Amino acid sequence: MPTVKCALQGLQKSYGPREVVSDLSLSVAEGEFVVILGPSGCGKTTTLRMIAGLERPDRGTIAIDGAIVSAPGRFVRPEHRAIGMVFQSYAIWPHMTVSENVAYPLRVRGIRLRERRERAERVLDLVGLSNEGPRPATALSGGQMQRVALARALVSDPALLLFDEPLSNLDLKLRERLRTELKALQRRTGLTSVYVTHDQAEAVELADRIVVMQAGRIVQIGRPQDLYREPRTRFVAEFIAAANILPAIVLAATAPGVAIVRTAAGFETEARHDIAASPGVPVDLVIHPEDCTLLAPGAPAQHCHAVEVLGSRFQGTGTRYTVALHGAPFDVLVLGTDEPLAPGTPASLRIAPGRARIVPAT
Amino acid sequence: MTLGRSLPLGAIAVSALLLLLSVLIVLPVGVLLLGSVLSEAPRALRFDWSGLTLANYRDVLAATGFAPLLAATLGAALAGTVGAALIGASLAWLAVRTDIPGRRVLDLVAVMPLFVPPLVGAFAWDILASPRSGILNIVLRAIGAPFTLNIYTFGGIAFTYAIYYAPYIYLFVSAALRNMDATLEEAAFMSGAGRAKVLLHITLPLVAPALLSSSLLVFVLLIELFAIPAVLGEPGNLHFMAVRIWDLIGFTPPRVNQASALGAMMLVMTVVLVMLQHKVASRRNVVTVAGKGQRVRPVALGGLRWPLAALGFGYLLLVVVLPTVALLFIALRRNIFFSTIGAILDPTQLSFAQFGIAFGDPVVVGTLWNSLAVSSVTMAGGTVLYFLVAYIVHRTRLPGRRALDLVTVLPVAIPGIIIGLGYLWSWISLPIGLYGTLWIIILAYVSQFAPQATRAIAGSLVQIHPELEESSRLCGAGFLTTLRLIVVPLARPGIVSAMILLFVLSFRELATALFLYTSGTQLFSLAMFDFWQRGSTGLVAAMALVQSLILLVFVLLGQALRRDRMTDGNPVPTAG
Repeated sequence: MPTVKCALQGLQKSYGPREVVSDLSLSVAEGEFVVILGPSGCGKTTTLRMIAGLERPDRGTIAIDGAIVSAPGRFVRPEHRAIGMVFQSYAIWPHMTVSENVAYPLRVRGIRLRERRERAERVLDLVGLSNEGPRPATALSGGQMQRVALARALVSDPALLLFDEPLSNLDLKLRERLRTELKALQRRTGLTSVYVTHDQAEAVELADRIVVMQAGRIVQIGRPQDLYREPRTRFVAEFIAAANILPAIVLAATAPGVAIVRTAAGFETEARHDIAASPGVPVDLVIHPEDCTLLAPGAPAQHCHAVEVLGSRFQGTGTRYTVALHGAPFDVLVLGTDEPLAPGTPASLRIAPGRARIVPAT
Repeated sequence: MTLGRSLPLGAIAVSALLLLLSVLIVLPVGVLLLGSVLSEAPRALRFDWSGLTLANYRDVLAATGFAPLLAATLGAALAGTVGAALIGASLAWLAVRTDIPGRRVLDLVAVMPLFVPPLVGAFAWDILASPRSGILNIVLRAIGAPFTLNIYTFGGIAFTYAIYYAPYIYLFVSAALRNMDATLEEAAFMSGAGRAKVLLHITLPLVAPALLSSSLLVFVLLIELFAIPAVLGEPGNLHFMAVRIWDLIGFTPPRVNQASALGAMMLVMTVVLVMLQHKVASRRNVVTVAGKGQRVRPVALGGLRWPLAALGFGYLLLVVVLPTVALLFIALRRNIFFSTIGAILDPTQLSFAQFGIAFGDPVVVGTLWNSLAVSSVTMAGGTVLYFLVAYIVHRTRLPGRRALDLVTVLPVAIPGIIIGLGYLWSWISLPIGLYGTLWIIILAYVSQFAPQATRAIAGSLVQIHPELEESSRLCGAGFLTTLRLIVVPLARPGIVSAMILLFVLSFRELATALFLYTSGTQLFSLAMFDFWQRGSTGLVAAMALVQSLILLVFVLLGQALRRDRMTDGNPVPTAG
């Protein structure tokens, strides 16, 4: 059992009559990278700000390194929590140079100028901004500002690193590069991190564990692969990836955790589940387009179904087809740059075995 | 931002500030309103309730000349507002949206009259256009013009109002024009509309809220204005409300309760108008702001470029050049009586005697020191006080901050002369020794300029992204350290603006101090007005120039301080 670095217990927060975080509990292990994922307004940023000490929970406790920092009647102010935080807006102070920004946490702790300079230089090296120290902070590009913000969060060796959608203001290419760098840096430093985002691609790539939030509550916690393969609700399935979600009913339970279902259009398949799936129960069938492929018609393979191509969208790394499965539209992602099949072409749809899953109907 | 454990400290701060501002702002006005329904003047905050009466209002309303008084006050204010709106909006459009030659210069000079105190403007135009001895009239007679100018008329006063208050309109409308998404105009051009139609159908409706809101503000300022009517109204037997209030106090014995009743009526007008203005201004967000800072092709004026430029710079001539020349001319003469061009140009008349008095007479010099002291303390105290208020209102969620905000904007609707009168009643005989010192004037000024100072600081504070402050807390800095190292440096442009405003406004103020000075606490502008009434025109001209010069130097100094390494070109990341 790894050491618990940060523990949230029964957190609750309201703004006026609106409850934004409800009974939230979570523990983050030492060295772990946890991503809180959810749509805007789900309470993820409020949760992060409560860990930081920028918001006071109405109920519940927060402990960092086993010490209670927030509880009824007890509140440690943000400056005393030893947390590094990277903000969405970068929050780089425009009236200071790059190294003044980075060295600020050391300055307010009364560390001497010489040591400040050395340590600032060291973290600037770490984030790939060597020799940029004397520049005015406003002369930096967005990506550089984000690195400065990261350097500033790292410089005082915090117990915990918090990220509030730090990449959302950057363009796609830069975002992908910084994501890779960030993950590598976190591996190297071994710093426990909590990262908030609404971008599932970011979450899947960065996280050791993803916490999916909806309307102030945690709906599922798990490794990215688990969330992908075993969504517990339709919301998680939809949010983590664009999936085929087909209304269906359970026909029969074949084995523990496996059932035969039939969609409204009449397509029948075996699907995994961890719900009470007795015959007649309405469910949603979740199948990812990436778990399917199209073969030549009439291929005698198992798990194949006759379909007809309705349309296709070329997406560079692959082609996303919409096919008619028992007359109902169904998405399939075929990787590669082959010339797309024309609408009306008959084909055979193969769904990878064991990938169909059912969640409770909404 | 949660203040954390300092929360009770925050509550204490809010209560203390609320109490202080109530005593400074609400109490004097309350005492004045009470005084207007009593038969005796309140003494030391003790009221004679037995004399509760509406007789003061009846007396004011029944006095002969009340109807002309009201008509002149409102009529001249209205005419002045319309004139100011026409001048200000046209200048704004010319400077921001067209290819008029010298548009940068025009943009700079259009606001220059803001730094000419109304009192100085009134003096200058008296020297220029009094019917008998006005310099312009002497010139007109010399060239055989069949008419003379008369500044002592309704039209003359409205003209003076319009030219000196046009910059307020200019500021609002030019800002609205700059923020306007220019593609809205371009879309209209692409739809086939011509220049005139675009101006009429698109541009004007989009800046209408700014125009209306600033016009209402100017209307309020003109209704309560004392300086211009006091100088230019009396010779032509035109009477105005602010001047009448001053007259009533000047009676022996002073008719203080009637003056309060008249003041209360003025207050009702200004409060209603300011509420209306707030309503209009709060709808201003309708104007679409693109915020992309894109440069747009200015409207080509074609053959009208030069004539319109001439008109634009003609305005500069009227408000800055002619008045300055007139004041210089009078200030540098031995003899202020002249009636021909020859006498005007007589070089033997040249003399620096008036400046000698202005800088040599201990009384005059004393008033200058008094004014500098009052303005400096007002600036220092007001800046600290209103920084705290603006911070609490805009950067915290402390309970009571809305009340604080409300109290601080109240003085917008309270004429300076009313604040002065209210202070007189509240403090005159309280045994705390405020009356007769400069402190009572300082307190009155600090109250009166609360809205301007708070708004200037708030303008900078709201532009500082909250995360800039929060990240400092996460970096280990406490609340006060964050304030000192992050918030104050970043809010410096607004803080410096507030300092300039507090100094300039208090240095030029006249009406507020009219009832608050004694022989030992005479101020520079009061002395100017006093000398004017006694006919020392030459000395007044010299003093007016000195005052304008001090204000100009101060403003330039402040501008230099505002612009520093961080603000140019790279705006502080904004909220949102």
